[in-house]
Amino acid sequence: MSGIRRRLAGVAVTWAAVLAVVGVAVHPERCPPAGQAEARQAIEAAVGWFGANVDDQSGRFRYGYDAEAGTDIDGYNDPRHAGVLFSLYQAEAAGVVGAAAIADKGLVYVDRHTSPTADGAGAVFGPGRGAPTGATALLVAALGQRRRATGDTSRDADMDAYGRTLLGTVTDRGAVEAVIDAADRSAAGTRSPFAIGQVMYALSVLEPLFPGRGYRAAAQRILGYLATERDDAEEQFPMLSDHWASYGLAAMGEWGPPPALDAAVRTWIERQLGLFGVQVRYESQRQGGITTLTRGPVAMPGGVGTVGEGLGNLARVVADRTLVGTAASEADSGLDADASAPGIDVDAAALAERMACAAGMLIERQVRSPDQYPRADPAAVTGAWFRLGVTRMDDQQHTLSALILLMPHLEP
Amino acid sequence: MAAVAAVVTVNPLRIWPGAPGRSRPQRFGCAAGGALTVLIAVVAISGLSGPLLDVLGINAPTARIAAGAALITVGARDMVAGPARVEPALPGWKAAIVPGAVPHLFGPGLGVLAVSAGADLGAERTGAVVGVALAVTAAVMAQPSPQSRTGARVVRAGQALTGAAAVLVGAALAADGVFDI
Repeated sequence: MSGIRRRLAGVAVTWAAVLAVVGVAVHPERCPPAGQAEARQAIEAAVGWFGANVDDQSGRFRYGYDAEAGTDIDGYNDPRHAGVLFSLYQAEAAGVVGAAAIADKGLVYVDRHTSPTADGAGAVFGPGRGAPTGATALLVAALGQRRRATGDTSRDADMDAYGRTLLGTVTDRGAVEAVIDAADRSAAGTRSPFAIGQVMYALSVLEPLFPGRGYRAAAQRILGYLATERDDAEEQFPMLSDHWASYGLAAMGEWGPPPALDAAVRTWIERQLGLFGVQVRYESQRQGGITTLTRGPVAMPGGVGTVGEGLGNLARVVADRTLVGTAASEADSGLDADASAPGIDVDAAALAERMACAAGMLIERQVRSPDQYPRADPAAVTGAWFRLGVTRMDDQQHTLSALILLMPHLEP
Repeated sequence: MAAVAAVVTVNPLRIWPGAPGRSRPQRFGCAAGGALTVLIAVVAISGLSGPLLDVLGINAPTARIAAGAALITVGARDMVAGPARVEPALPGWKAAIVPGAVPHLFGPGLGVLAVSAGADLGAERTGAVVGVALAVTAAVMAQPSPQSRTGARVVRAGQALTGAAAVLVGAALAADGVFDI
């Protein structure tokens, strides 16, 4: 019997070794509970952060802040400015009264940094030479949200002018130039991982406002390229989770008629859902202590926010039967619309779990009291999200947008 | 996929040389008894996988990653380690349990796989696919293992190949877990 005992002890060692490897590969996931009321409070606190950190004269927001040192961090850039306006108008559209007024202060900065194109037909947000395309695209997205939230059409002409510029950045294949030169409207050969989704979204917003101007075909061309060519053509590896493209897809659902998404696009959407999902699962395994060694510190709040944005938008796309569940071929489509669109293959319960988990993590991580950082300016920390003591305005932007999109999916 | 994963994690060729029993009926009895015991355990584990994963705070796709990691580890071991030896055995029919079921048939790879498959497929389907794998393994174990040096080398090579297959299947399972939502 002693031989058997020794052998079983050896078996126990084998089990322990294998389970140790498994324990490193996967950790328990912790998703703080999140309800709509808590999400609403977090949204309002984030809007409050922008209200307390905008400069009325310049229209700029506080860019970054080190709460441990109590010092500001510079590095202001136009795409993030436009992104902040976008999230604030989004909040106003979601019923947060006063958010648009804060964003409107930021239009001062926009108007000072907008240049006409050389032919006078278009406009660029950013420096006249070498402006990042994403800034103009996100500004269009922001103005679209502004129009939706306030009903004000006074900036429609601006949107169309920006849109004409953006059309010039889309290649015949559907790629997007990452840099705009106001003189000739585009700079050939520049690419960016996120500008493509941002431009697709902007054009998707413009299509129902200005039908027949080519926005629809260009947006669909981009989507087809994203789904079938981009990763190879632009050597994008690993595959990118693209929250801006998810906004674009959701916006296409508001077209009349919406496009029929072909099998390649549906597969791409399923992969995007997987990428967003695994990021939530991974992030929820970061619980301090020993997981700091195996998983690292928590991700940048803006990064977690983009995951929430992606999930919130794609949940809308998945539920939109006119987008993913109908069969229609369009003459102007750059996509190969097939005859039988079976919808998106996704576990709806799992999607709901990931959305609730993302919201829960964001709500839990928001700074609610300035006491958390005694040396910091209370206005710079209250309502913000920090990683390793540092925040940047797009941390608030993406988390705010994520919570707005996720809130309807949470328990009342 | 689950049936293949079960076969490669059990690795019939690795445990074949260590199968208990001198006569063919003895070997068959131990193999069948061990397989039945393990099948009952696998069905029980997979049936409890939902509550177990809830307690652990792990969801089904992540459990698939865990199963993939277990298969990769076990497969790597099978690629480099020697075949199972003739083990000390409990007397009589109990040899089907030790060493038939444990350690031969039921290892950590199959245990973690049972939890993951239970979450994805349910206990009945998990029992069915693992049952097929155990039947194949028991059929191999019931045969006299090759005694010649060449035969032993062939079996050893087969064990290593099966281990390599376990690594590949484990990687595929893990990737599936990663890219699932």
